[in-house]
Amino acid sequence: MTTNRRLQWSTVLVAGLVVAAALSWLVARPDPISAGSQAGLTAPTYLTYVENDGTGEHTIELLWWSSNEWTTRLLDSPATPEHEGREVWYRFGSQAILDPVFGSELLTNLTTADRPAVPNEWLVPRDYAGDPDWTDAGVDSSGNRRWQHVDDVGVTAVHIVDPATGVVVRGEQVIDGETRVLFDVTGQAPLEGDRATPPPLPEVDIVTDMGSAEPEPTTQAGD
Amino acid sequence: MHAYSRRRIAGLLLGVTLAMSVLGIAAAAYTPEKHDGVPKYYNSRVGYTDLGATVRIDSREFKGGRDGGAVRWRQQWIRDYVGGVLQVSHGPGSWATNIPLSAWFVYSGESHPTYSSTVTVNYRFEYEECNPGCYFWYAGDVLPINHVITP
Repeated sequence: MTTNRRLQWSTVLVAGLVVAAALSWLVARPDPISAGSQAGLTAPTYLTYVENDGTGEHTIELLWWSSNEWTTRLLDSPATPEHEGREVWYRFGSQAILDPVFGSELLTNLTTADRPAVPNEWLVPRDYAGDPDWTDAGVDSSGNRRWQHVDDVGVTAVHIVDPATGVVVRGEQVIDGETRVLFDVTGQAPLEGDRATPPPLPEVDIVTDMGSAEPEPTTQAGD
Repeated sequence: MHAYSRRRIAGLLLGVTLAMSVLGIAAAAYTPEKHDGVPKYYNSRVGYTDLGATVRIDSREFKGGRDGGAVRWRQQWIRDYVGGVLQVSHGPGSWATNIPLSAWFVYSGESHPTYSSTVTVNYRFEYEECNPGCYFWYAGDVLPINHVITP
């Protein structure tokens, strides 16, 4: 009987230790979103970059104050000239979109409200050295390191990383031997003057709450 | 009897001609896929039927995350615009994870309006990636993802 009681207590003790260890691991585990945004651009930053989305090259101006505050402007877009002048303002979970074609709208309750967020994948530092999918392709004349990745459809991506910030300063894509520049912010100047303070969101008549969700999407057979 | 057969053949030919003309006009098709250069993160297309003077939207479809690297992603909206005026708005959708490249997803409750003028179907996505660093971004805000369909 005494042995049984000891066994019971031991079981409870071991179970408690397991639960405590699990809780401790969960609490100590870094938030992956926060971990990914610890380094990066020094805000505030002003960039003008060219992005190629497959329809053509688009020149975009980015005013970056923090991981939760930025503004973009579509300066030049030969493939979609009707959208030139389009502005997107993001501030802590609310976003105002001012579009010459679609009009103006304020989106509230966005799911990134309490998280760092970025408008573009290039602006987030990545650990290329620790990623087996990427190959070190050496250092260029500016001291930036080139990382290369071949996609499973034969597309080669080249990311050129500033060693000081870990941020991609230029992105290239090679398809059938032809190189396309997707992104390039080399030599950009930091934000100065009155742009150093983020202005409030512009006032927009149409307000849409993005907090609710529709039913699950259905799946169709592949094409 | 002979005249009846001739009428019958003429009727048959007329029927076939009419059917072919209807089938020729009402052609079902998809818009070209739109993505971010490399179709890794998201993809979209619109299924439509050209009825001649009008066009009917049959499906608004999307897929993504082919390498399983996406933690989650979803369509935030799909909107139809005619002449800059909003006609239909759907979304946001539910979060999806690890969607295989071979599958297209459509909203079960979406509408199928018919338009007599050029319609622009506009998409917006949210995407979260964690390989190796985690980040989150919107696709279709800085550069709009548009599918333009003209009857």
